[in-house]
Amino acid sequence: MELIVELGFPELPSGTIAPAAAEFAQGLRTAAEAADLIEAGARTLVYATPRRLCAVIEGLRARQQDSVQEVRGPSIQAAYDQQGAFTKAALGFARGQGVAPEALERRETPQGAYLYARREVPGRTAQEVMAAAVLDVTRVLHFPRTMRWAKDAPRLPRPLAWLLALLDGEVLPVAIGPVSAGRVTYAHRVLAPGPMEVQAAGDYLEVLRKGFVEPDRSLRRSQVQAMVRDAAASEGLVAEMSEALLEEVTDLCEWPQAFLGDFAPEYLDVPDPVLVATMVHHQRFFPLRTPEGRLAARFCAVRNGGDEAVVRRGNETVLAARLADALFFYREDQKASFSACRPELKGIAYAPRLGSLYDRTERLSRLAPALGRAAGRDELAAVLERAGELSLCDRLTALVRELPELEGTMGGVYARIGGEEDAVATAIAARVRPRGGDDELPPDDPGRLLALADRLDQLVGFLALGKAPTGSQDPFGLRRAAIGALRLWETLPDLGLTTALAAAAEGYLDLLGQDAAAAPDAVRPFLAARLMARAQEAGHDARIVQAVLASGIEYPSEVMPRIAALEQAAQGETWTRLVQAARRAKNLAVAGSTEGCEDAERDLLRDVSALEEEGGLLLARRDYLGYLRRAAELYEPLDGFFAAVMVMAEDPEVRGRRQALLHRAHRALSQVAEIAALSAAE
Amino acid sequence: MFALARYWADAGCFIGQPYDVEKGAGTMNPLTFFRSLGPEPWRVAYVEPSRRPADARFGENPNRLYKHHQYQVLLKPCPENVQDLYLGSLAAIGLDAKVHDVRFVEDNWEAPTLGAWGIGWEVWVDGMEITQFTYFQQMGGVELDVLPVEITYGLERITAYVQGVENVFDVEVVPGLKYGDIVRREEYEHSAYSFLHADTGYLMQSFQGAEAEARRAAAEGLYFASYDHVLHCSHLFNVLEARGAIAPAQRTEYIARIRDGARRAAELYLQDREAKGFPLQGRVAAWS
Repeated sequence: MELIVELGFPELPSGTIAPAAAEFAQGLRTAAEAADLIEAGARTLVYATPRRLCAVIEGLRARQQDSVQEVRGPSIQAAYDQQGAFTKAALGFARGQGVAPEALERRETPQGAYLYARREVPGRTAQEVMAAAVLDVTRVLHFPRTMRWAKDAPRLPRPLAWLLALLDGEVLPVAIGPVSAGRVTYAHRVLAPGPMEVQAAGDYLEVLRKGFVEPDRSLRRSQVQAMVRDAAASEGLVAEMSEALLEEVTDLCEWPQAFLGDFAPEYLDVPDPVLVATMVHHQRFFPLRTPEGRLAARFCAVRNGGDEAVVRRGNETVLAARLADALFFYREDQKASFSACRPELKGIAYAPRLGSLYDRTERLSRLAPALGRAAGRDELAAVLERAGELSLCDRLTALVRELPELEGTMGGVYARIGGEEDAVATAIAARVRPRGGDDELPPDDPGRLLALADRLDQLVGFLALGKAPTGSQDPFGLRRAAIGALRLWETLPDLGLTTALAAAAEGYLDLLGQDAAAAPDAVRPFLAARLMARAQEAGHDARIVQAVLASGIEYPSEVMPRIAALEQAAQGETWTRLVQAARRAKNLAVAGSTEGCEDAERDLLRDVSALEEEGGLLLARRDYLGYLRRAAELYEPLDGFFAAVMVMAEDPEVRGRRQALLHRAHRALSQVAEIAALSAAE
Repeated sequence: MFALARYWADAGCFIGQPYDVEKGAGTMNPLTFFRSLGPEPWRVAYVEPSRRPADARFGENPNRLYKHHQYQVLLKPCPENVQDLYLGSLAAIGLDAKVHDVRFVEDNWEAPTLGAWGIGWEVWVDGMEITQFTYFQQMGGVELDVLPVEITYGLERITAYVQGVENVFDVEVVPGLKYGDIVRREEYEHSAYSFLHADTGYLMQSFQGAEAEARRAAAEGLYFASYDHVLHCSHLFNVLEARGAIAPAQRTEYIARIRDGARRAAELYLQDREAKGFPLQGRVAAWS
């Protein structure tokens, strides 16, 4: 049998459509499988548009197999009284199972003899099971935001408008809130208004396509892609198609039709990022470029109906108004000197207790060069100081107020116009990157250092105030800042955490005093937690990651290579020895002096020193695996040491010396990870 | 406006009038704020002048105004065919969906000062946003069981679009007379006042005074009177904010103070209607 279920809605939020449809189909399929109602290899199809989530489940069996259920009742002793009549316990059991007492059967079991009820359980029909599943699955669908729309109905992102549910062409008896299932669907709202009947799942696509709806989302997506590409190509242009825009446009229409539009060439004076942001973010247009990569004064858009000429004219008018605004703002912004407006940042608060945006630029202008020095890039100091000072001036510009996503980008543009050095302008533009997890990193070191300074300043400031995110609440974007910082750090291998955090904290000493000085102790575990999350998302074992993090994150860029090396070492043959050595050393280790060693101790001391030296060289080359292999060689000297001497000697001086020696051995073994925390069977 | 009024009157709406206390949106008119609450059905449509000090642009921006006008429609409970009804209203003002590309793009609405939020769309006609369409979920801090839907048209923009002009000040209101001829000076003055000249000390004092008076009226059970002062607080807050006199940290606190007032008024309204047995239930045939 074939089941089709379509949930009809007024337009759903574009980002939720594809995942919700997939979840709906999967939920129905799982219910069918759990009830053993589906044939192996049967297909499940998913359709999704802004107005519908639809699933087709093929290969359903009409009903489950009948089954026999046996339930153990009271023991024979408890089932009959002295006269051999049924006891209350036996009668109650029979009643509970819905069988006559005489029908109870005696069975021998290892625990003795018992009465059993044997019941034929008729299989449930697909109709019954799937009707219940439609409601259950709808109830647990995940949406970012839902609403109440009817009494006793599950919360949904929009009010449910219709419910099409057919099992082999028969209406499935189910209702969601006030909406009962039927065989009616609605196609395109304007191009084919009014209800349409569907006879069975097989008709669905044809009915909708006749009604100007393309329900197959991936087909609709490739239609959009091809139409836009072809429309652009017909004019010798290339459409700039980001994944995000393509996805969104696909889910904003049911019957896509691409069209080209123009704007006045004078708007090409506006910098490209502004034109692109206006077209993409505000209008969902695809910008067009010449084969040489220059923006053309044209765009490609996708409509969902209407008369092409009218729709084009309307869209052109709207874009023209927006571009007129942008050009106006762009010219206005240039009337004032970009750098001279910096003092106005004093009037804008960064956050309560964290000073003004001006204060922030002061901090960045000191922190970025400090990070540069710590990373061995002293020569960038002047560029970074200047870029730091001007880094937030674009917040004062009209364009950034209108199009906040252009923060940074416009700073770079205006800095260049204002005659700043190229490196300064590039760094200012790069400060905001990466904006998200997948966003590109800044192209060069000045940009990366300024971007890192920006995030460290944010983390230190807010964590000094104790504003760490809780649960899903991260109102100050600290998690994103931390992930950005760690990604930036991967490009700065020589920059140590201690120096960097101390420099960031210093910027807040005037404002926050002791809270600022203590902030690095809050930032460090916060960054470690992000590293942990990132490593686990990448599929690394939690204990391995923990062991690596436990030995410190002073050079964050090393953490991922260390994890990889440790995972590899754990597969190697010397692993057991390494772990045992580390554990034995750790058990009795106490910090202290190793002065005045005896022979056995001296041997170990020599080997530990050798490991420190040779291991140090390997670490300096970032050959973590080589280091781990070398470290395992300490197993034998340690073994010999334990055989030859009694660590817990009575003389406290001797004991202390030996414990200190083990402490040093443990440290030498734990440079890549806290190996003693792992097991030999890892 | 005439066409919209006629259309919505035919749909059973009471054609109301603007409320004479300054406010930021048509939602704040008691005809929407109070009547969204409780189980009683309701349908109303009216124009609302809406003051938004932060949007003021000295009369120089083609689309932004200190005072713009909303055409506000509230339908409660939300009719099943509400989107079709809405498309009918667009056709009534010359925007036929067969010719124009009409889209419903997710945009959830929230008015923290009213303790209100809803789920809905901004409606685009050929790429231009002309309407906010919201299923209310909460009003005055009260969860709504009977679902009201609010349709808010931006009148200046629609008129400019229908007349084919790019600047709202170029809309011809009477042959020979443009909208800018009437309002440009007013826009300039309110912009200058809100951004440059408003006396923040006086405004803060007024805020406190209005807040106290709202509480006092509420203590007497006078929710309409109390609510007027809450509206006043809300407007003063908007001016203070445009003037840059409210630090981000204080912002939340001010909003909470206004919301408290709105919540008190909402609760009093509900108590009163309940005591009267929610008398509008079942009264108007067109609303059921």
